[in-house]
Amino acid sequence: MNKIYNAFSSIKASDELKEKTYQKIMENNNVIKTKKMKVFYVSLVLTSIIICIFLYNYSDSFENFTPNNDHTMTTKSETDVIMYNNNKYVLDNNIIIDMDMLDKKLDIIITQDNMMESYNSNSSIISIYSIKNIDEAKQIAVLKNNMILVYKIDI
Amino acid sequence: MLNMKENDIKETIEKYSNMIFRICIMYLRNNLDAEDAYQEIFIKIMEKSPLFANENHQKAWIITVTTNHCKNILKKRTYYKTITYDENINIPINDKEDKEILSIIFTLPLNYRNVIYLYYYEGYSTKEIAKILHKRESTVRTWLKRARESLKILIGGVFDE
Repeated sequence: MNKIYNAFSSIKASDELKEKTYQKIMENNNVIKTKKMKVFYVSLVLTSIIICIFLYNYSDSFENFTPNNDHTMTTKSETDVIMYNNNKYVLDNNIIIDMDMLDKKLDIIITQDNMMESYNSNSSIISIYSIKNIDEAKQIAVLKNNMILVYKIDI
Repeated sequence: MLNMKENDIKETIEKYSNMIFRICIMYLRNNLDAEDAYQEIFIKIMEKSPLFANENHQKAWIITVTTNHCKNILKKRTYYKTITYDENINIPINDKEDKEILSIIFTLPLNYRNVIYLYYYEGYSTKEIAKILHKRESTVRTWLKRARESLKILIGGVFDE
């Protein structure tokens, strides 16, 4: 048995092999560290790119967004301008007239009130009148929901 | 990688180098293959290196990793039919008598020489060997008995239980 023990004892890893193995382990260690760093930086860059693409695509939405205001703006822009007889008329809030000032009915226009309402197929009918003693090419009156609004031509 | 620091790596290499190299030689019977396997096993050990309850636990784990790795190499050899060892068994030993005894041991079937090594050299009991090799204790005892019988015939007077 001692002979067998001695025989097994004689098998030894050389110092050179130990050193080579140590170097290889350290090399492998560095490779793994580098790989981990690469994975970290690549994922960081990819995340940044994704965020940039997201911001680029949705930047318009963010710019237009003000709480409870976008809906109003759309409505306002739509109601502020009227196309009649190939001319563009804009609302003139400074002038208020009553029914007596209306001269003759020029046209009836059916309009979508706003985007939201259009989905519900809600539309409103507005009547366009000329105003007494005023050239219709300069100013018109619009009767909408029993309100009279004055529009002037937009030059 | 690693759960180990540089000093721990050096210490582990120093502590288990010979044992791992012996097992590699036992399985592969070829110095060059054993050296390659030895390096790969150390890299594997350093990469995984779980926490151990004690030193014996670590040693048993390293033996299991080493035997499994060597078994995989032997499987690949069979698969690719690239038997690299020669009949003279290439072991870097100067002592003639030791070399002769090892050459006889290496003629035994793999399981027998493995059990002989773990029992006589590492001093494990048959129960512990069974645990390390994932075999039944009775199987290990049978292997050990047959290995002894074979060695008695091959070595003759040299082998003494």
